[in-house]
Amino acid sequence: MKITNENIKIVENYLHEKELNYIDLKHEVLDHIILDIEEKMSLNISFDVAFETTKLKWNNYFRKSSSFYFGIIYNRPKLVIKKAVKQIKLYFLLYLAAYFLPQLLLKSFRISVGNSTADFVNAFVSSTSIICFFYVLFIGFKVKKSKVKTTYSFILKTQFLGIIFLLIGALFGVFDRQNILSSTFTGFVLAGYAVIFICHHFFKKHEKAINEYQLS
Amino acid sequence: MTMANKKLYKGSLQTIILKLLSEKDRMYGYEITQKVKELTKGELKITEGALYPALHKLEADGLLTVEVAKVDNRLRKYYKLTKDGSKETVNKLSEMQEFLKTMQYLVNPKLNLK
Repeated sequence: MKITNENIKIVENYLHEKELNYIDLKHEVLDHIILDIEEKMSLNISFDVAFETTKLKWNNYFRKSSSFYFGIIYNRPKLVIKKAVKQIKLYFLLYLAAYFLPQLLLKSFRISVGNSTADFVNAFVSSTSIICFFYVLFIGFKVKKSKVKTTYSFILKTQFLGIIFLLIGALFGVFDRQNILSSTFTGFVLAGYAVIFICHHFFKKHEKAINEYQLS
Repeated sequence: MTMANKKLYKGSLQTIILKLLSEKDRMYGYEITQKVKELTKGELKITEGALYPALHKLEADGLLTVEVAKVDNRLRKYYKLTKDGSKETVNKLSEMQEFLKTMQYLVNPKLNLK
């Protein structure tokens, strides 16, 4: 038994109330709930009763939750957090490796170069960091302009702070005044580049999701 | 279904999804839950809280791809196996068969002597 458009609106409002506004999840859950209600209604159960029973099943998955991967300030429905964690796990490792590997390696092997090489590398790091910084700003602008939320735009929101690493790279470079490759600043710069890679990846996914749902 | 049984099935959820998708070109979430219920005669009911994280994990791992279609005036998300997903299905099913065989040795050793 098919439910009416009016009833669909009620279900949509319920998802909106639960802040499930992420298109890659919202439509999927809406479809599932509607089909579940329709199955119950085919057994001569009223829409109201069927909807209440279905809500009982879903309420737990819409409970606000957070994750170590994003920080406790980012509270979202459990279903969103679970999907986002599955997406970010691998990239989180990349981010950690980018920061900690130089710490380990450069503490064991000292790399020093001549003045001109150090200046060249520092200038290169500064200019690429500035370009990357503007690229992240561009991503942030495009995501905000699209006005569509996806799990990927949520992940992006949690990563933007990482551009601080880029600014450190742009300001200080990777070679210190004695022309020795600094483990700390190399770690910062590589972590900054990892953030760019992560932002680029999830921006592409965000755009793909919008195209899939033809909402662009 | 008992709690212990639920735990046993939970570890096999991804294999179940991959197997179902290897038999049908594309499926949506609700359809998967209904198919599993039908095939197991109601013994196994996949909860939404287990199904969607499993589907999203398989999608994130590149084993599933997504297609969106308009059905009954709303958007429906279909899942399909990728090339890697098809290969992984074969691996997972053979792992599962090996596991069942090993369990058989353990729970019913007399059968193995025959």
